[in-house]
Amino acid sequence: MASSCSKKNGHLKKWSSLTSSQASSTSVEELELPLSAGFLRAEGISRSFRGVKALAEVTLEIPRGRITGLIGPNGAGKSTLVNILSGYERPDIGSVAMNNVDITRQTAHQKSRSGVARTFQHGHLFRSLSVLENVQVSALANGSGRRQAQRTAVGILDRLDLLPWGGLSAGHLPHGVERRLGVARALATAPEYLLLDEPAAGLNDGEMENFRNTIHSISADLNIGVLLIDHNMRLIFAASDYIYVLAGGQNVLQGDPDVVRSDEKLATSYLGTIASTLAKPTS
Amino acid sequence: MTHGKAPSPTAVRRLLAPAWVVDLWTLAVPLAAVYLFTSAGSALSGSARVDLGYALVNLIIVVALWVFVGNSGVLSFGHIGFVAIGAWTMSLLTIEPLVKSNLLPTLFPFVQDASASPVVALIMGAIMGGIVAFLSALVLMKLNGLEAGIATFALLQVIVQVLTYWDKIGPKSGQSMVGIPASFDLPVVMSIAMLVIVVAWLYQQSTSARLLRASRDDIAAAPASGINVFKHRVIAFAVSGALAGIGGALWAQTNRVVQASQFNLDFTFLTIAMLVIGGMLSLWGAVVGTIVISTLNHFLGLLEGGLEIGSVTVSIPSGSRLIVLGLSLILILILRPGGITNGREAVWPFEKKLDFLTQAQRTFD
Repeated sequence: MASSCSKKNGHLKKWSSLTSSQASSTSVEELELPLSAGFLRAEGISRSFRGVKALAEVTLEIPRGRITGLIGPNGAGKSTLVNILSGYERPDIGSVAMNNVDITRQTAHQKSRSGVARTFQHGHLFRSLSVLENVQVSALANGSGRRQAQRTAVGILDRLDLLPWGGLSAGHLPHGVERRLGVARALATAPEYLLLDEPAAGLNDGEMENFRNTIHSISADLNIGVLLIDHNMRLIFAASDYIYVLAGGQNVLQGDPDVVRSDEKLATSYLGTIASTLAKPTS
Repeated sequence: MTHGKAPSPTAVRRLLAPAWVVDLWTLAVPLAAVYLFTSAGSALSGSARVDLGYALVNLIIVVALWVFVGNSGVLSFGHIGFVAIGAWTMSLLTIEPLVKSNLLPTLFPFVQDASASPVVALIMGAIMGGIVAFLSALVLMKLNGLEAGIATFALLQVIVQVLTYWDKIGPKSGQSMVGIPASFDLPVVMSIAMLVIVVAWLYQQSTSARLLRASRDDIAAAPASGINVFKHRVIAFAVSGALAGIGGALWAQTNRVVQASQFNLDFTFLTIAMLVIGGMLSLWGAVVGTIVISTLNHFLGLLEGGLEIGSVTVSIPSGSRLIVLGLSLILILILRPGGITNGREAVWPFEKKLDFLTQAQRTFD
């Protein structure tokens, strides 16, 4: 187990070296503090599909080392936003910036290598590979050598309690393990930002609690900015540092969990009241 | 065993092998199978040897096809086009200059003058196949799934039409090239086939191929892992096209007559059927499929010609071969969609898979 710890440190070391090179242009203080600042920011994003507006001037900010919640009824445009942030779709208008660098036009694999990782609503695992290989592949694609990729993968599996599953095929996993493997695979890209698209769907209460702890420690320990999308309000409000509410493709509400919880707009947006009748976000 | 590790208590009577031995096994078994197949075929009659020559050439083509299809999961109906290019290169470089000027008077002067030894011509065949595959991949690999498959079929048509009608680089429309000297005997063809298998295996071990296989499993998820699917597909297609070019060059050597219309759907179907029946996801499957179908074809051919068993002559109608091939393919697809090998490589038989935790421990040493 001691060796396993050194592995984790290795992963962290890789992390801090990344962050310090990021911060090299700024202050010495940031070099010493592993938790450097930085944002993944979507600004004024609009996107239509065949004339139907999926997103209209949505703005959202994901800070490093924090968990940002994103909620909204079905069809609110949450997944479209994740697709745009991760390079799977291009916005019609608006920009995506990472640490103040415009990455709007980067493709999905470029964004992954830049440091934006994502998971999928429906697993999308590499089914003919083993659990370990699923994670290795992500490390390999992000420039690790074979040996390094193996070490990174084992370390991440250990962190997510997936080590006992490592040798099994990813094609036949229990649901909870699948969800965690999705996160593990995203982590292997050494991300600065991690977009989790309904990661807790189908988890039972115990798994949910574990999952929340995992996300929390990932975000804090590795200084990753997490965007958490889920329909489970208990999870969102317990885990998030800040929450955005989308409805009808627009920002409806944003703020700290307590602020959002007590806001009447939250209820109205979830009751299916047409978002266009609501005032545009002002908070 | 030379690595000198003691068998672990949990693996009594099983030998522990380091990972590289297990990996190398997936190369050694196909090579041994090809060697045995060739030896057995050589021991038979004259007609068997002729068929064996074609079988080894087909083996190269199917392995080439596997490099792209097996690793990317995208079906290609276009590889016979690269085979044609290899055959063309071999023919144009090795036909006697005098024969060439009489037979192919309309060639570009530099093609007319070009001449090379069979080995150089073989390498040129690989280079030409690789270049054309690379350039077409830059366009084709933007497509996915069925669209990609159909586009590769269109590519075959384009290549065959160019070779049929462009008399600056070949015979007048639709005619054949003859007088290709046969410079490689069976052992040499077998050695080249083995070399092609080694190249395909080395490619399989590469990081590029690993990433491509991940994209084969889930094309949507691959970019999120940082995989540039387009790039790795282009690499696979180029390597695959180069190996198919080698197959084509040897095909020209074996057939001795080369005509554009020979690179047709029948040829495409035969090679794809061999790959699918063997198991298109593994190199071992490509080898097994080719050996099984070639053997089957040989004996069906004998039966088509009428086989005398004692005083009775047994024969089956001409054309039975293709019918049997088609039926075998359908049966395999229904009963065992993964092919004979079920898409698996040859498995190291002497060691039980290490449990994963032990493997993980090893990575920390």
